[in-house]
Amino acid sequence: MEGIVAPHVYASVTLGERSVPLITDAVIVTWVVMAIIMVATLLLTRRLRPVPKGGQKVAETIVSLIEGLVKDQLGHHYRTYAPYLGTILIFLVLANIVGIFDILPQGPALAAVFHNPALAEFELEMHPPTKNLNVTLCLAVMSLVVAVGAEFRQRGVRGWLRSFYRPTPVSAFVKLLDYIVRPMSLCLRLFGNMLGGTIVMALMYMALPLFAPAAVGIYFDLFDGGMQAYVFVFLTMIYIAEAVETEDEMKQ
Amino acid sequence: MLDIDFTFLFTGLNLIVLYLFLRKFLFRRVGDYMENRSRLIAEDIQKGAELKAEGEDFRARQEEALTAAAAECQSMLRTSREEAARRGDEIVAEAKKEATRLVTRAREEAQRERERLLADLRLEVASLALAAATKVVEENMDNERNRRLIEEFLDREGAA
Amino acid sequence: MGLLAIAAGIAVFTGVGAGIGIGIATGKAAEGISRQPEASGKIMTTTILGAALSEATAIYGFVVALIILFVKWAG
Repeated sequence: MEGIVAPHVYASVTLGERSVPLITDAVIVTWVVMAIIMVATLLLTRRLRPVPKGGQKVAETIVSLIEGLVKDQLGHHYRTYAPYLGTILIFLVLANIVGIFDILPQGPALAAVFHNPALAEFELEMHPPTKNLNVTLCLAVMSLVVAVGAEFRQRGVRGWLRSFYRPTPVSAFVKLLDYIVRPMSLCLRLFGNMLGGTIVMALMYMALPLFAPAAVGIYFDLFDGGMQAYVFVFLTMIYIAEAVETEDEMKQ
Repeated sequence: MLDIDFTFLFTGLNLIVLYLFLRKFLFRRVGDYMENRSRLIAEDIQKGAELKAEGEDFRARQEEALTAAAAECQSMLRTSREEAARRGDEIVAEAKKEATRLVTRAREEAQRERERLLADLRLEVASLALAAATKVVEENMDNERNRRLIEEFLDREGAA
Repeated sequence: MGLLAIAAGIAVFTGVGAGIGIGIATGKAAEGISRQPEASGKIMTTTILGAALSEATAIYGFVVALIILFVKWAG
């Protein structure tokens, strides 16, 4: 259980007297997911035709789905924010369900098959990177940065500062609290769900290794992963919409 | 478990790279392409509507021209028929006139012939009468009464 | 360790609130759908989103339990 909760560290640097992990399994799985996304993107949009065919259809469906989703909340601002929201949606969906591909042979098995003792050290379990708090915290902070950036963009720095003491100076406290609570809630929700799902799945594999994990995995790996990705993106979108829309309402 | 380490930093960098990549190669590329296409389709539809209107207009004008041509044809036909009828009448009238003229001339001819014949006949009759008279005169030349009778006769015949 | 395990168990009791909350939300959603079946799509989205939001409290309890169990406490 410790191996699931704690990140697997591949390289670390020493800062002062503490050794801080540099490369963890979350980073490596993120790279794998990114590589898959990038290669898939290039393959799907290789040759664009007026009448879509094969991969282009998939790419167009994904793009129009995401743009429609963002347009519902942000209206005409969707052009600015759809790429970011789409990126984290695609990334989170794939990163959250990557647990079902946890089929890589681990070090000892590789060493036995290839008669190479050097391989025994190899260990990479395809667990969702979002079960690492650092990843979700970074995503949540980026969502906050994007939302505040949208506010800057919409009202300027001065308008942003003014929003602290409007309608009353007390609201500055609420707003500051918002800036802390929102990313914390985003980050912990995703982190807790993914870590909990991974732990439950590990327990399932331990208790009933044969058929039960397949049935339970549909919920914990696929449904919950997609759900949480959607919720994360949706909440980020609502924060951006809040920053963007008030200005439009003020103009009216 | 809850320590912040370099994973945070790496995740941020990875996501920024992924964002830039996807924005360029997926959202901008495919989005622009789709937008272009829908604009092209809208233009095509517009153009099609224009062409259709033009076609309708053209057809209407053709139809109008066709109607006009048919009307003209009809009138021409009527005119020519009238002309033909008139000409026919004329020809018939002329022929009638000609025939009348011919008949008249033939009748005149006949009349003249008869007159000539009559004149001949009178001449003949006169000579016959003369001969008879000569005979009679030869018989009773001195008979005054006879000579008067002959003259009377001759006058009467001549008047006839 | 024994006390820590009990503490973790108590922390996970936050799930009760989330369960009740999601239950109420889902019940209301079912009512709404039965009243207005044509709006089922929107109701569904809202319900799932609300469920995910109220689930957060349970997740906080779970995270606290994990912290209690796995974080190496100094001393």
